[in-house]
Formats: sequence, structure tokens, C-alpha cells
Amino acid sequence: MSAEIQAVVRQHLDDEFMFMRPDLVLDDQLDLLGEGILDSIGILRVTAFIEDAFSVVLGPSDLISENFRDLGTIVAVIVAASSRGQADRPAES
Amino acid sequence: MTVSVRSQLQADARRFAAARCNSGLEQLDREQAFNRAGWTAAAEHGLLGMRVPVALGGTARPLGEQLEILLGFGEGCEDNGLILALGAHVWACQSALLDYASDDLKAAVLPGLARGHVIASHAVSEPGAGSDVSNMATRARTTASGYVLDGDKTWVTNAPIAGLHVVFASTDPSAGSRGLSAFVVPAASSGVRVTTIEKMGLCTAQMGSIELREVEVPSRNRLGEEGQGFTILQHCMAWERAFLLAPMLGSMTRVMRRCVEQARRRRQFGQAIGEFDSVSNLIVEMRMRVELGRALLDKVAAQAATGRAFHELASMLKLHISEAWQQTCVDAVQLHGARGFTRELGLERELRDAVGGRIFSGTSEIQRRIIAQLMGVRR
Repeated sequence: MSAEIQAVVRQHLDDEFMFMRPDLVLDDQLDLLGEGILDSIGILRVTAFIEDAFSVVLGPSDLISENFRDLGTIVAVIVAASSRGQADRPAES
Repeated sequence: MTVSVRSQLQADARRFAAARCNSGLEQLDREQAFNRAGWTAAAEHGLLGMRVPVALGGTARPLGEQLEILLGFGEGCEDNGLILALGAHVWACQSALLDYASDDLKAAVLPGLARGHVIASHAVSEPGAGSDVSNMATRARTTASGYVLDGDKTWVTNAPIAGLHVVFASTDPSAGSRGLSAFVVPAASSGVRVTTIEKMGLCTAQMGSIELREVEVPSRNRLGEEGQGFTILQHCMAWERAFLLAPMLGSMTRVMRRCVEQARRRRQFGQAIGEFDSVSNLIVEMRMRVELGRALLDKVAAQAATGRAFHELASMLKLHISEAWQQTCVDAVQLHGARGFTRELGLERELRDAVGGRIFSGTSEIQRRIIAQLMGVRR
């Protein structure tokens, strides 16, 4: 499951962000924040993509910049959110 | 929610607001005075606690019900400044507390906010940094027991009447927007001084500047984690941009109905002015703006109810309603001719108020920038 998630997220990051840094290759450990690939707005974009693509809800405790440091960390956050089964939990309905 | 329930919620709120929130409005507007009676009435009607859990003094209404009530409230309440004050209190401040305060902090502050006994302000903008929060100059220095805040906030709605301020400050200036943190600062804290700012519209909403000089804040008053301030701010702003202006769809409906009456009854050249295309077209455009705004509001509410991010839709909705509101008021003044331009009808006040809608909570220009950023068009 993690491999599938990783492939989807990698593709999204490649399509939407990595074109800004053609000098870098996206791997699990590439520092997305330190290299300036993801800024605060970028984190919001990735959050919206993750919630839509994987039918999960990222809660307040997920939305810290360290959770978007690199591809491996992002995948771990998605796996954790999926296991919490938050997809069907409405915040306010 | 059935159509009849929606209608009933709107109608009840409309009647209550018309009866209890408009008294002395012309004088309040002239004197730039807070509508305390309207605020108290809104609190008694439960408008300030709709998002807050029952255990913390609120009514925890579903979002859909909240919006129906706000639409009716906006139609009945002619005091747009009161609507702004209420919106800042609920959407900006309560959102931060509900989702990022510790349980102890929630128990300490939310009951007072839900009942309206305590008013909250949301202090973000600074003289040198409005929407550019990465350049925020207010600092929060770590101490043994918490933090010491120093800085200046401005254009803060509710600041002069607030019992507490939700203040954003940098705990790590070298980290830019990732170095921001958020704090609950009691207005009575030593080192806090508030001055009032007069405005051209929304005059009953009290706006002010806040000086923070060596203000001690305990660690328990921090919201979320240190450095999570930007995320908290974006969270609050999404709620505010999405729903603070929802009552203005009701306000626009009220203004539109006045225009319909004018179009039917005012006669020129032997016929009602509504028979002229140039008049009836203005009213059709008003109706279209309201209906499109309602459709977008429902879409944003549906997304928000899932718990998923809705920042992009929120900015679109804020942009649409604020621009629609101003255009509707400009057209209403025009349609009423000379009387519309005088103070007699109150339409000039509605227009002065509407101008503010395109400025607060991020200008229309900022909303377009955010939407473009979230679409990946620009950085």
C-alpha cells in the first residue's frame, strides 16, 4: 500500500512542484522544505491533493511543516491518516 | 434538512434580527458606536455559540443549520457592522480555539465566547505586514514560564471591546511563515494597550490597534504547537472567508427587495420605472449574484463538513460575495436616484459597508492571488 501511495504522491510532486527545480531529483529523502520546493502555500496544495486522492482527512496535528519535509514522511502521514479511518468522519455536517 | 426546516430557520432569524438588532442604527453609525443591544440579542438567540459544543456552553448546530440562520440574520439585521463583529468572533477566533486550544484552555474561554459575555478579536495584521505574514514583526520570546510578546497589531476587528485577543507572533523569525505561533492574550494583560480606529463603513464594528509591550503569556495559552501559527492562521482564514460573508447574501436580498418595490412604485414618463430595461436588468443581475453566491456557499459548506481542506473554495466565495455585495449596493443607490444618495434611505450606509467587504479578511486582489497560488499558476 505504501508503495502505491508513494507512487501517486511522487507523481503529483513531480507534476506540480519539481519543474521549479530541474536541478534536483525527487527521492524519499529530498528536503522539500529546505530546498524551497514546498512553501506554506505548497503544503496547503499538497494537503488538498492528499485528502482528495486518498479520501482521508488530515487533522490539526497532521498539519505541521515537519510532516511535509520529504516524500517518505508525507507517505507515512497518509498511511497513519488512512489507518485512523477518518474518511467518513464529518467535522461539521 | 428539509426545505421547510431551512425556511423556518431563516424566517425565525430574520424576524428576530429585524425586531432586536436595528434599534438606533443611524445614530450608532454616525457615532461609530458598538451595537451592544444587538450583540446581546444575538447572544440570547444563540448566534454566538452555534459552533461550540454543548458541554462548553454552545449549541453545536450542524453547519447547514448555522448557515440558514445566518442568511436569515443577514436579511433581518441592517447593521452590517454587527454582522462583521459577530463573524470575526465566531469564524476567526472560535475556529482557532475549537481546533487548536488545549482542553483546559477551551474550558476556560469558550463558554464566555459562546454566550457572548466575552468578545474575541483576531490580531494578525501589522502596520508593516498585512496579508504578508512572513514578514510579521511581532515577536514571542521564550521564558521559563511561557512567552513574552512584543509588537504592534492593527486593523483588528473587535479589538476595542474584546476580552481576549488571538495574537499571532513569530517564535522563530529566521523561519519566516514557518516560525509563527498563535496565543490567547487576555485583554487585561499588563502591557496591552488598544486604540480605536474610525472607518468609512461598517462603523458599528469596533476596529483598533493593539500595542503589545513585554506582555507575559503562559505556555498554556499557546494554540497548537510552536511554529504551527501559519497553519492555524490559514485554518481560521478559510472558515472566516467562507462563512463570515454568508449573512451578506441575506443583506443583498433585503436591498434587492427594496429595489423591486422602488421599481414597481416609482413612476417616470407615465410608467413604473421597472418597465425600463435599464432598471429591470439591474435587479435581475442582483438576483443572479445572490443565487450564484448561494450555490457556491452550499458547495463550500459541503466540503467544509467533510473536514477536508477548503481554502481555495473559501477564497472564491469571499471574492464572489464581497464583489457582489458592493455591486448590488452601488446599483441600489443608482436605482433610487437622488434619494438613494442621501442618508434618508440608509442605502448610502449599505454601500459604505459593502466597500469594506472587498478589503477585510484579505482584499479581492489577495483572494485572486491565493486562488492562483492554490491552482499552481504562480508561487
